[in-house]
Amino acid sequence: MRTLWMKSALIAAGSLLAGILTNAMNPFGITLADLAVHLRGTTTQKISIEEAFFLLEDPATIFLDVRRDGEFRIDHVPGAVSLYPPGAVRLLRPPPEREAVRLILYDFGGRGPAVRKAFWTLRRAGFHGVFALEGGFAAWLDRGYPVREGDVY
Amino acid sequence: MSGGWRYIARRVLGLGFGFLLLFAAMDKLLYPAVFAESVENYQVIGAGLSLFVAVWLPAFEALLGLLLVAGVWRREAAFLNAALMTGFFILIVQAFIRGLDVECGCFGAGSSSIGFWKLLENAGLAAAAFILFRMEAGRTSSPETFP
Repeated sequence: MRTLWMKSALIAAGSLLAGILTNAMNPFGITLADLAVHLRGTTTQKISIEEAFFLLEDPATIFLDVRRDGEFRIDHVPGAVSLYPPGAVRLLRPPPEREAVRLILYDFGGRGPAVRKAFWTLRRAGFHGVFALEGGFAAWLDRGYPVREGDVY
Repeated sequence: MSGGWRYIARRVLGLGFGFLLLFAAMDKLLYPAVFAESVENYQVIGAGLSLFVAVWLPAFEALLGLLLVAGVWRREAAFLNAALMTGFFILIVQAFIRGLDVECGCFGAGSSSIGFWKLLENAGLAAAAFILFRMEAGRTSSPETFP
């Protein structure tokens, strides 16, 4: 019985060490720099549909569509850029004026994993003004806000 | 159950849980920040502890999975696996009772939402994990151990 507890404790401690090491080596891991953001809440920063709509003409705001390529081709927020395949987000490099850039991510329902993965990947890449569109593209359509149809990137 | 069948059942369960844990750990290891969000959504622990869990738990699952697949420290791995599955079941039950509309985060981001079937699935996993632990615990103390 004693061996059972000792070995179990060893496995738990070993995995903690392994977890810290893999997180440190992971380019998308949790960094000390992001810790302050995480401690305010691990959830992604959100932006309301109304606020996002008012930023539609703002040149410093970019809408990023993380839905599948086919869905983007049908319709999307005007001026949005498709981030499909999802791995493409890793290729984005922040411009020198990254503090001024505001990125608004959206999927269809506003709760999908692609938005959250893209959010933290972009934060790790050095973009600070990253937001997830509350309610996603579905809420955008519900409000009757403009959409662009067709194969435009 | 005869010794031979008992051995086969033990290994099948061990390998099944081993590969399941390895699969479950993959997405969480790659995106710990996203997993931290899933943990916090359960509204049981705060942001700080969620981050700790997001760093530790995927590595714990991966290590348990490796031990169960390799057949090393099987009794201890089965014990921790049973404790882990019970913990997950309790977490799902409390979320279900409170009516939280969250995705389970069981296999990383994009996992299915909490509902009756998720509850049943986790109850089954916890029961199977206990059976595996009973088998592994009996292996060392029973004179009928096979092979």
